[in-house]
Amino acid sequence: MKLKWSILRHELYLNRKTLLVWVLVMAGLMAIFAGFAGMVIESSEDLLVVLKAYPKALLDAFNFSTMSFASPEGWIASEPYLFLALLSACFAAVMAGSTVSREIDKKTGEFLFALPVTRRSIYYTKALSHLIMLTVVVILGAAAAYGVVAAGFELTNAGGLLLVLLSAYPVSLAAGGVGYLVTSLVDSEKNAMFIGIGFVLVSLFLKTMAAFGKSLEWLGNFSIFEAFDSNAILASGSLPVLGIVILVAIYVVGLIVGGEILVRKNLTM
Amino acid sequence: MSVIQLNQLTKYYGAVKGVENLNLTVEQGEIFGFIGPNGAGKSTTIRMLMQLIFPTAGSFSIFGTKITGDMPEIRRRIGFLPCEVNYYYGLSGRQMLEYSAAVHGVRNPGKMIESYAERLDLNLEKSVKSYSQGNRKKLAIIQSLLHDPELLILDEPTSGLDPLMQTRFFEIVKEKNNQGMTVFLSSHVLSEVEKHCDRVGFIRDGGLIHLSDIGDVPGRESVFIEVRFSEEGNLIEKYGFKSIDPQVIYEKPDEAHGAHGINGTNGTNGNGVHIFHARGSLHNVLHKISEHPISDISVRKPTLEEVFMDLYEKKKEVAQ
Repeated sequence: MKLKWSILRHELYLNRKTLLVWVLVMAGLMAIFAGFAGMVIESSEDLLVVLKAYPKALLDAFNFSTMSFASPEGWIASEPYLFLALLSACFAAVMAGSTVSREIDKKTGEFLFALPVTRRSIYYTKALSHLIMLTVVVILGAAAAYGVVAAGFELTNAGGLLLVLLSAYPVSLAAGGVGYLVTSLVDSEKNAMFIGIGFVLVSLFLKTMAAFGKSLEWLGNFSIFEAFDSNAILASGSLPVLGIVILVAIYVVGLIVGGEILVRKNLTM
Repeated sequence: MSVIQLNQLTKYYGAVKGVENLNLTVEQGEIFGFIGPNGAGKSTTIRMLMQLIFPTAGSFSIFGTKITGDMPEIRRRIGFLPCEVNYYYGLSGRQMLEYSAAVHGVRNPGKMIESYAERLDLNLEKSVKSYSQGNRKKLAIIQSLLHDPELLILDEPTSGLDPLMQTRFFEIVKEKNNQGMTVFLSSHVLSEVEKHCDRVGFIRDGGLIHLSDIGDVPGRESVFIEVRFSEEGNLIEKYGFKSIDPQVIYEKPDEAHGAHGINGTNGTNGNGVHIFHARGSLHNVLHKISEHPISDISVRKPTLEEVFMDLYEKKKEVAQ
């Protein structure tokens, strides 16, 4: 199976506006979040009092802990990190979900899959274009957050902060894996998009539910957001290997299964 | 050498029949017409040839190679013009063609693109989104020819094209055919098949009902005789014309404008037209008709459309 560079260039060109919008939204949001770091640290005592008024489950759902207001790294590891992971996961799921479904939905598949390129090549080339775009979105989002806090503070745990931010990448890969799994099964781009975003939101919901008590903790096993604890990464300065393996495995399995479904699929448009 | 060979080719969509037990061969260098009404199975057959869908049973070969699944090396030698043209809205016509040429490995396609665009009067700088259906069709025609295919598969190629562009399109197809390109032309416009094809296959309800050279289509040896008698009115019963042709019809003056080979009602004293379909001896039919005073007469061969409808009706009667 050979990747086709002309298809890769075409995919990147077609999706350039989508990429630009996502980068602007992600980088802008992360920069705004990071910009609050000074205010948060200055008001940390008051915020900790406010924090105690909320149930633990809700705080866990949004990654808040006592460390969240103690340092700029702690602040970024809380809600900003969660939004980075959440949005990049949505982006990955939407892009992956559109791989085949958009071609069927818009009826461009009759042109694309009649080209002298195997379906596998087309599929994996499109997946490569998504990987490139996802990497750009996550890196620029992370860079915006890191850049803003690094410009305003002397960071004491810069390595830990980078690891926290980059841990959003395998999380979004897993969401992409689910997108690939469904892309050849549904013929509507909208349906594929709803399934992908739905998976990400349900995953977040399961993470929230898991924090409501010991009896519900098991729900967290089904959430991609439970693979990493950002505060623990910050404290330890390392990423848990098992979490990476599980998330990347979801991506790889989803990608391969989606490709094999496409190879066998009757493309009726 | 056979370029296309279908062997008992069958496709079912669940319980719904697409095509069943299709057997036909298309030889190198010929223009083959594939005719049938909408929903007959033409597009299903073409989608199988393009490996977009896979047969439920039977098999088929292209360029002598049995097609088993996804075979891009075969598609590289085929030009495909789909019935409904859908391209990427974010591209201009030129970008779309350059993309297709790049994937096909065509180097420096610029001159060829310009030449076809000029012949088909297509502005390539506009975005695909702004193209009319006809312009999209023109773009698809160029795209299907850019890599100089050995086999051109056309699915309703002239839908959306104005008559001038239809003529230019068939000029290009004829040129390519003269250079050795085989053409598989699917259409429900029988006149274009009649005009351009060497052989023809009729398909109905997913089954091939007839396959022959264009000149050997049954019923084409028959003739239509359109007669305006001097005597006014419907004379079928009066002169026993049913004995000449049981299906003889009389078109009233206000209906007779559509008669094929005979003038309208101007200067005919408002008389209608009797239309005889002579399947046997022309001499006997004309002899019987000429027993009555005639003011105008036209004898013509049936169009493929009339032959097809005749075949279609006969097969339907047999099936019932």
